[in-house]
Amino acid sequence: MLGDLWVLMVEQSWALALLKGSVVTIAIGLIGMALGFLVATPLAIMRWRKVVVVSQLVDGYSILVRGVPGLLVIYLLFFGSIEWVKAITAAFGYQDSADNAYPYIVGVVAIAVISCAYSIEVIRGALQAVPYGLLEAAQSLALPKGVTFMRVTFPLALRLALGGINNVWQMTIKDTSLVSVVGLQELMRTAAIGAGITRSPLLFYCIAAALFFCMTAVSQTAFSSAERALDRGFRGR
Amino acid sequence: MDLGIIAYAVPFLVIGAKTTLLIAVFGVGIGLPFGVAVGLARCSRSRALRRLCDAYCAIFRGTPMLVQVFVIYYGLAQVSFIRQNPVLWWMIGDGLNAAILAVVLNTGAYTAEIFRTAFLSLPKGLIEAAEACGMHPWHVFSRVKFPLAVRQALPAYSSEAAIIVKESSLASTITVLEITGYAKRLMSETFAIMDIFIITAAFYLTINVVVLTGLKLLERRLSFAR
Amino acid sequence: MISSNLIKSAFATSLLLCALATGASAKDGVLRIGTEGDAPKFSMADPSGNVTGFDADIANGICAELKLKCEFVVQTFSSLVPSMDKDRFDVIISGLGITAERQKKIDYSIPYATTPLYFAVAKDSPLAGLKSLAQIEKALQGKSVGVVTGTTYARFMEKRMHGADLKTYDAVTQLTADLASGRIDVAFADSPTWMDFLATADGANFTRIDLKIMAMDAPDVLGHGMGVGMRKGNTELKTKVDAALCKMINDGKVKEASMQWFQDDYTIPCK
Repeated sequence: MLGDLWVLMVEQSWALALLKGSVVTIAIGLIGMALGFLVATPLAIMRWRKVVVVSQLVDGYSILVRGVPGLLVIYLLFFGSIEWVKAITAAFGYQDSADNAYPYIVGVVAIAVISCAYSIEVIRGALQAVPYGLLEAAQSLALPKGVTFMRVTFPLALRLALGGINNVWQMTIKDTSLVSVVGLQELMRTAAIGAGITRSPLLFYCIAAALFFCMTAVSQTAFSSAERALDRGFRGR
Repeated sequence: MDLGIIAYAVPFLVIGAKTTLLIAVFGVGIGLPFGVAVGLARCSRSRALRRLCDAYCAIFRGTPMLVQVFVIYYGLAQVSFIRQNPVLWWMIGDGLNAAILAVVLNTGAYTAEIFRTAFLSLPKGLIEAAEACGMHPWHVFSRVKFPLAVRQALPAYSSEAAIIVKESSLASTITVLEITGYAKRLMSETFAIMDIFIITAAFYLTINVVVLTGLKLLERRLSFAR
Repeated sequence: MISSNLIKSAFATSLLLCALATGASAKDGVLRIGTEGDAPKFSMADPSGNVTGFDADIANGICAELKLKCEFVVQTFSSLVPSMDKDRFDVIISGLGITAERQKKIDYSIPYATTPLYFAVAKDSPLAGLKSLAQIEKALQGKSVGVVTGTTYARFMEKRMHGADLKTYDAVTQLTADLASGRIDVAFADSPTWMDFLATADGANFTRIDLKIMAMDAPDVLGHGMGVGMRKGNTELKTKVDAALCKMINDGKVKEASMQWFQDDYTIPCK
């Protein structure tokens, strides 16, 4: 049993392949999440402020992306835009390099589009949950609107949003498995190939799960300390 | 898009949609109360209970659901004790039951996280006031804590409900013929991959628009007039 | 923020390197081949990305005949056809069964091989000794039968063997796992699958029903064997690939590959 494992992992170098897949997963997950969060914050604020038109558009985008399977988002982004990109890059003479980098770009953008939709809801929910009394207190101190937002609303909302953001991140890192359809060999795809051709699906999927667990365990520690930091003044009686 | 393909695919997908809805209804119906209970347990004073529930959440949120489905269906089936125990085998022997079990366990972990943060964010003064009135702990929960927490948790939970509908598609990997299960058959039969994909997505979108708007209306109803 | 910028630039650099190393663009002198990479014996991508198996041998043979360089693009099965449509690669070689229904979407080369199909059951099953398809169909009433999704033989079960409770699996390993655990009574798959499974410890209690089913027995559902998939209307490429395949079949190259991977000759003669 252990001997077999050694042969598979080391001699046939599946361990290395799985690690490489993990690196792709982490890279795409981190960039996609960061990009999604950066775009989501202003959109969520506009949604919270009920800015006309924008707020309805944001709502529509969020319902659409959250409503359809993630796989479709990436299929449409990739297969829907590839002809345009071909035409544009060919016009500038960069066709070869663009062709090759394109799947990576679409992969990251698709993950960002998905995580953004979920982040909007989390941030909006948190902004709405900030106790009104505190804002009134800020107003009665005659704080300018900008200062009220940066010093009172946003830090308080961030604390409330943390759990939800953690959820979105855990989902996003696992959603990266979708990018395999554009030909990227991330962790789950590597595991699926290994499972298929070595005929040990449980072994490969459990290793993949363990690797995912390690990633989320590390991020969980980061989130827990962030939570402790933002919780100052709320703990204890 | 080819109209013939739509006419051919839709009747199959309608049959699949019933199974998808069945899994989703169980996912919300059992997963929500279960998740709330776990979320509450994670804020409890008992360290052992907290640790246990933290570990459960960490495992189910930290690993891909596909793996959870596989381990529950294929992995547990290799244990002869489970194969011989009629109750356990009923739970995982059938693809649909195993899929529902996996969805409930998975959504339970995410729901617990959503409600844990919601419970933690409750203003202390209100709970203290309820306790000071001499309210029974159950009443403190059902009349004060839960109604307040649900308002904070609802936006995040509506996302989770949409995810349940979509994640139920993983049941197709363990022989359950829900929307995606039929879609896979149709795709390999006709090779009209994109067409079938878009029709399938329209099914999920329809279900989820109903779910998301429903929860949005609920959210509006529950929100305090400001 | 600094660290995230660092990661971004590191990622961008690695993208560029990957792009340079595994370029998959339309170039002269290169045949780009889409394949699934996780089908044992047919299309197997190893950890370093090389593809081996029967399909890979066929692909390399075609490239040699056409004096082109083979470039494999490994993708999941469901993304192969749309990717070829958008010119991510020129052909699909992934054990594709040729059926009339699929020919509406893509063009095929001439068929080059076909694998015989068998039912497998537990050794003590009453079905084990059956001899004809009619007997089997009758015995399958109300029994659960497993097949792999996306195969022509899944379609055969659906259209031809009425009354059986059909279960579809994403992969052969899942099908055999459920046969072994007793969730399904019967499984239906190609001969290489059973050759492997019956030799394992799990497969010791199982046997093939001694009835060989070939594509020619029901071409309307089982199709006409495996072919190379191409974009619709690419007649120039089709002529070339057909000629190359025909030469390989007549030279015995296809037989050689088939014997190597399946210990049996599955070649379809070239007309």
